[in-house]
Amino acid sequence: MQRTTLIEATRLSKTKGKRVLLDDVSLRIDRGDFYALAGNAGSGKTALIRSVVGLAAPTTGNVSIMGVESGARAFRVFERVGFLPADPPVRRGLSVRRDLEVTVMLAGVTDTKAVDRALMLVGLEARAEEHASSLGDDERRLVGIARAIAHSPELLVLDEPTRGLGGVERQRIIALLEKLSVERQVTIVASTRVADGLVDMASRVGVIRGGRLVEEFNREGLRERGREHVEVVVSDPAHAAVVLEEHLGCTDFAVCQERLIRIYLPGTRAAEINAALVAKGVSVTRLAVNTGSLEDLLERLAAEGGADQ
Amino acid sequence: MIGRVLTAELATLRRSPLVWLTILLAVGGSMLARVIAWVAHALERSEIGEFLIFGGIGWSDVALPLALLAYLIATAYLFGRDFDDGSIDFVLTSPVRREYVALVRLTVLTVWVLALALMSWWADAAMRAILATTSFDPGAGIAATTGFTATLAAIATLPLVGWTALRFKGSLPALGIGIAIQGVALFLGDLVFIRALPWFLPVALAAEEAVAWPVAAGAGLLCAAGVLMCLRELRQVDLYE
Repeated sequence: MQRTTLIEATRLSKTKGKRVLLDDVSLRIDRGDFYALAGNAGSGKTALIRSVVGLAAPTTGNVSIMGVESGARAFRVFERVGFLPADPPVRRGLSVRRDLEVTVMLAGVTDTKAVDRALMLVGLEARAEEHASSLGDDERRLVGIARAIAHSPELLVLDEPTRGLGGVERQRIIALLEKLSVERQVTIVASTRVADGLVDMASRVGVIRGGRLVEEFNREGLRERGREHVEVVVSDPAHAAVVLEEHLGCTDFAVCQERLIRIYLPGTRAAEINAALVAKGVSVTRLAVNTGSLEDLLERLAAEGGADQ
Repeated sequence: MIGRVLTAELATLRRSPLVWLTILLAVGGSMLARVIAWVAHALERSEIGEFLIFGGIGWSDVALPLALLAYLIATAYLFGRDFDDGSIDFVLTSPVRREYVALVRLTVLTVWVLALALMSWWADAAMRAILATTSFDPGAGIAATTGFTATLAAIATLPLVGWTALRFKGSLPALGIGIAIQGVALFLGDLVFIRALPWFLPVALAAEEAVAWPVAAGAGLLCAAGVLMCLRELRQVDLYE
């Protein structure tokens, strides 16, 4: 079955003065995807997300959303797209409810219950009449999420939806996004700095570093990479593979680039692996045990080579 | 689509204290100006009048700068407030044409300024009746014409102030630049070269009994340029520069 592409970025680059915010990023998100964009602060997550929704103009390359080139001409797609900026603002002088009402008014929603429903979903119904500007950062984020979902969009583009939220609120938002993704088939693109529940739920994960999309995984690939394993860099990967199979009885390993082998055995067998390889004349120039948490994996990928920005 | 942009615009404006501030400046300024003019006139007729520096102050000397300030505040707020609080993200990711947002704001601005001018004129008429100043003032007809032409000229220049707010992403830069240029035009109005500045138009028009056609044409061109610049700026605004 052919899948509909909702977001497509092709060779996207953006610079700000001498600073490279995005560097040759290509990305495709299909209907039904839950895409988590993981990266450290300054990695380019926000620049990419704002380029997708047309709030930032790419220096080169192009990006389309719902089949329309992002920017001023793509205004109509926002009847079906919800967006949460990284620092969700609130309108001064308005109550939380009025702030949301203005948003749904602009979106052309006539359902009078839409605002109440959105507030209830994020757990802010009790604070609906308070001044929006009196809310703390975490509550503003909840208002922002309510604003993004109030008009029942098909696609949600969320910039760090769980940042700064406490445990209860974080779980509530993660559960809400899961519900929207699974039950209502809403396509979700959400950026995150850490491997929190968002990454666990995602059907695809992209890791961005220094403005480049350095790795992309599907759910299975991520689990595979996230398992506990021993990483070795050897002089002769082919010979090492034979040693692993014949002398250690291990077939669950992957030979990667630059003579790196990931051996999916417990870390407690690292010494045994090293000894076997060395005994058979394979030089081991690096050996590391990866404990296998998703958080570790993503943090390592996001930080490898250091943050460029 | 324009209807819902207008409704949303009015919903946010209705709760804004800035609306009351502009009314205070325009109406209060007009009333205050009439009182000052009345006091100045009374003192001029007394023996101590010649020693007072504010002798000869007319209504327009006080009311006009305050009214222009109110118009500038209204413009800077209308076009810059979304950048100030960050809600421009929501405006530009709403399913409405960006051109409609700019056009609705220009329309609201025109109505707002005309309403302020009318309120200001009514307040002046009331003060004139209370203080019985008809013996020395230029008359209601001339005052109204002067006020109206100044208002029209101010409206002509205000889209440029709106563009400044969009270009520099905030109300304060627009207000600052607007006040600076209007201030220069008002206080250095006697210098010939100042009359060549477009920002001098409100002052020049207020001073003319009959509006010269080049000035009126210039105001029209300025207004059209400002509107086009606002539309263009909002279309291509980059919020990650």
